[in-house]
Amino acid sequence: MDFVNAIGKLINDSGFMTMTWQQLLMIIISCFLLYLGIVKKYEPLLLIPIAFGMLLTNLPGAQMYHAEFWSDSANPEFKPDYMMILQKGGILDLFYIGIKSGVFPPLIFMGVGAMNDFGPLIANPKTFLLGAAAQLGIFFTFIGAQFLGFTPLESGAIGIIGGADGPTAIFTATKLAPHLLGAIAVAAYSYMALVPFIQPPIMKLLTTKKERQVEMKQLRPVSKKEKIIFPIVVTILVVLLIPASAPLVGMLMLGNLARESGVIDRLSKTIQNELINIVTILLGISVGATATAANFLALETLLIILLGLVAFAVGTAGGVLFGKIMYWTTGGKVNPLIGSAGVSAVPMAARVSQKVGQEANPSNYLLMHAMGPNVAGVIGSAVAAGILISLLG
Amino acid sequence: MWLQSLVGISVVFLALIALSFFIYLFGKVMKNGNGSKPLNKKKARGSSVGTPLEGSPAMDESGDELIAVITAAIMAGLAQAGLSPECRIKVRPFNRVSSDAPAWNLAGRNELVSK
Repeated sequence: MDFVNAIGKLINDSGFMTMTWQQLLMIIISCFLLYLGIVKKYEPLLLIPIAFGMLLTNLPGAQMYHAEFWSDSANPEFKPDYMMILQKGGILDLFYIGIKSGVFPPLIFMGVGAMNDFGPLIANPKTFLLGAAAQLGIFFTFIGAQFLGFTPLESGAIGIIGGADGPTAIFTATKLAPHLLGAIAVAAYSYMALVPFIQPPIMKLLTTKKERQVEMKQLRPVSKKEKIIFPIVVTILVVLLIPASAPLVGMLMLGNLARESGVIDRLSKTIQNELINIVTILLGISVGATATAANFLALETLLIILLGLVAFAVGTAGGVLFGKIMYWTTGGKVNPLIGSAGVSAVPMAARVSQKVGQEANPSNYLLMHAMGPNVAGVIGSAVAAGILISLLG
Repeated sequence: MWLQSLVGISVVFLALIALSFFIYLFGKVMKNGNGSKPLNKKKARGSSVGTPLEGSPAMDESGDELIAVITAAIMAGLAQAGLSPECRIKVRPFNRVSSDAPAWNLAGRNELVSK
């Protein structure tokens, strides 16, 4: 009898008996995202940990993440009890502390800074403007989201998807609307993966073939001294202007300084490899964990995904249109296609500029020119995030 | 809402314009600082890779011979790619790629040639 009872209890306690249809749907969605990451190779480095976190959090009984420890929809003033989380939380709750405390996104930014050469931006500082123009999508969507009924805080978090910068989107969402983090992160990384499909039609629609064929003058060589001074100056200027952007901009520039200084190679290599890889795993899996069925399966998730697409498209259009202005004002020396790279997504957006440019003119190499607005876009989206946090937070 | 958006995008532009301006000025200062080295630049150009050395085969061969060599190379390439060797190609005057051409243009040409 005891044996039968024990078996019965095991069956009743198993996830098969306690699973809801919403959890089943979330498991199917996470498997689909895993398929996109593994088979279609859509941003696999992030999509796979996110999708797996989503899978784990929706398996009933796993108890790896507890949404109720982090927010309470009935109480906007809710503050998490970290002692209780440390004692009773699951492993994904512990990982999530790194996001909630705002540690992981700046660490990712440090890696981004260490992996990128800011030389093209220093050689052609005018491309900073393209990085600014491509942030139009953020503010356009900020307005649009409020018209659709989102609060200003939620709208700010949704709008930042237009920056096409995953860590910035996560950082901002954590500060402004943590309950939307899962949907915002999935939308941001999905659209970043879809850059090669979303951007080219917009770029072609807004430019003539003649404009796309423009070959740009070779960039001037940038000295080591300039590359070393650049991150220091950017940190001082930007943080003095928008203090709230300090965690992102500061870490981005620290990573870049580690790369360019040439005297801390060991640290630079760690930032570029081990550190960013470890943080990517922890960040991805804990972001995925926030996508519980209760949080994710809501009309607002669909709206966020739609608004994210709008933000992305408007950002791309803003960059290209500003590129056209530069094309006219410079007498045809600037190829407007490089403007689309202003939406961060390093280096994918720059590669798209290169590809579309080469379709129009096979001997055209825009990659290095597009890297200027691309890294300016990273700085621009961090600045925009700082502004939104300052204005709304 | 409108005001916040306007302030937001304006501050983004202002911040990046300020950075752009500073980097531009800094670049100018650096350029002036290195302004006393034009001779080195000239010297470097003189020894650039694209310029044939005196007495090298490229200097000795006549245009007709080079056209014949280029035509033969193209025909061999086509044959290797499985295309009919009967296709008629006539190589007309050719130009050496300038050593001053942008590096990305050279890379593009090389990539096209190697395809």
